[in-house]
Amino acid sequence: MEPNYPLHLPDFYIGDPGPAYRDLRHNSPVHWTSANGGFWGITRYADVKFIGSRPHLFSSANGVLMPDGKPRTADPRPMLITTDPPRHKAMRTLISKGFTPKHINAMEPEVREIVRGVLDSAEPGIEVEYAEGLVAKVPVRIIADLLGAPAEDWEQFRAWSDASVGSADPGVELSSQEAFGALTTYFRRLIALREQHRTNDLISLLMDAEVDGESLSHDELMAFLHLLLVAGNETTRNLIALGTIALINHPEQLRMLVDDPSLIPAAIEEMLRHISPVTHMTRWATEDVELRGKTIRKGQAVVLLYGAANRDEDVFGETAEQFDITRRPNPHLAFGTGEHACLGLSLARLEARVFFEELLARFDRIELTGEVLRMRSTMVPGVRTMHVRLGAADDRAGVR
Amino acid sequence: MRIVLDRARCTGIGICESFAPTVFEVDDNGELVVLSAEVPEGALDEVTAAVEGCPALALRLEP
Ligand code: HEM
Ligand code: SF4
Repeated sequence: MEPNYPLHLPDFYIGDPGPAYRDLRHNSPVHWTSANGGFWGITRYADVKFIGSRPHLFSSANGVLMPDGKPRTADPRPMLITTDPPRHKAMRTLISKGFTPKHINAMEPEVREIVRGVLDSAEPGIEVEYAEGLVAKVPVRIIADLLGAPAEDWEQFRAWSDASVGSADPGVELSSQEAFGALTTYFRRLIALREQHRTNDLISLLMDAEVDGESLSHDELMAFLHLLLVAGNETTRNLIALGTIALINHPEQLRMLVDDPSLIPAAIEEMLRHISPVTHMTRWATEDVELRGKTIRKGQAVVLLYGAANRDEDVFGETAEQFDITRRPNPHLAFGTGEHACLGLSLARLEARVFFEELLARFDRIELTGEVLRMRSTMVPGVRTMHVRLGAADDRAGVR
Repeated sequence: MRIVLDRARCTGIGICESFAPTVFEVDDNGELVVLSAEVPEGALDEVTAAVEGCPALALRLEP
């Protein structure tokens, strides 16, 4: 009998999907789920790579979220992430000018200052809410800074941004449409300012960038600014929050990092692999395709389960299920694969590296003091809240 | 070993540069410049990491 798992439900991803992923990789690697109008779940590394690198056969135009049972059609004004070739390449080349290693590395001092500012509010020995209260502040501020929003607008920006992606505290009286509208007005103001006076921020760069004589239209620019918030916030927050939990669960590896911070970049790659903060992205077959004896029909949805591919024994060996910060090589697919692979990956890596560098330089003990509350999402099932107590390296000696 | 770039696939975000900055550089126009057509002495590991790390599958090594 074919295995049967609720791949369409958040609880599947919030629990430990490891055993189900293993079963699927071995017994039904191209797996039909009939829920939500039906979709194929892809769990093997090689297959995720195969599909991700063939955008002509597997399109993003109908959207990258898993099917929800409602009919899908292509967005008449697509964002970068839902654009197919050849248009995608032109848009991406234009936008990626703002995300080259040179540009991103140059942001390190700002990133560090933002991280320090946030961590300054955490006292050793006193319980804090870590996910919402500390970690989440970092990516929003960095995106606000990237867009050239003045610091006094950051808190407002964060409220709108949280509400517009539906992650705000239910107690906050702001609907996602209202927040989306407020943000749109705010972006329009930032663009209008740059129209009069260019600076060296991302918006100015995107306004001036041209590929083959074409620049981004006003609508495309707006759509991209919204995409940045959706793509860059909760993903990074969850990498750091769930990565911290992985370290709490592996105290010997936490100790290794405290003793030798040069291991942090490799540890972040392992967090990316083991957590896979973005569980999946979806593609749509443009013709009938045979894969491992199954026929994927034209128009059907194909869900690339990165978390499953990232534990494939064929690539990561016998220890694929284990968390091991010394793993090398680590060619995980947490940032996707093919031409839609994450545009912000250098920035996400920089943010996570600086965060853990600063965190572990101040605190060498991290302790959960209560339950971890998860977000009920199939795509980014991260941490809503987690309370921790941080212990300072030298507080026992009374130095602080 | 020769480094072959498929420019039609490259999106210029420079993952390759982060692995092997002596060989790859994205210029200010967002175009990838391959600074050395041959893999330099002693740089095979980092160039291989760059080739494997390219998400757009735009890089290849040829004998
Ligand atoms: C740990 C953090 C992150 C993870 C795990 C992650 C994951 C991903 C994945 C899997 C994709 C592939 C989409 C697809 O194939 O359809 C993607 C695309 C994208 N990401 Fe990220 N991301 C992260 C952080 C960021 C950040 C910080 C930014 C920007 C500041 C960002 C911006 C984007 C954009 C714009 C795309 C669309 C690229 C395209 O369609 O060409 N991401 N991300
Ligand atoms: S990593 Fe690949 S797509 Fe990116 S710049 Fe290098 S060759 Fe081009």
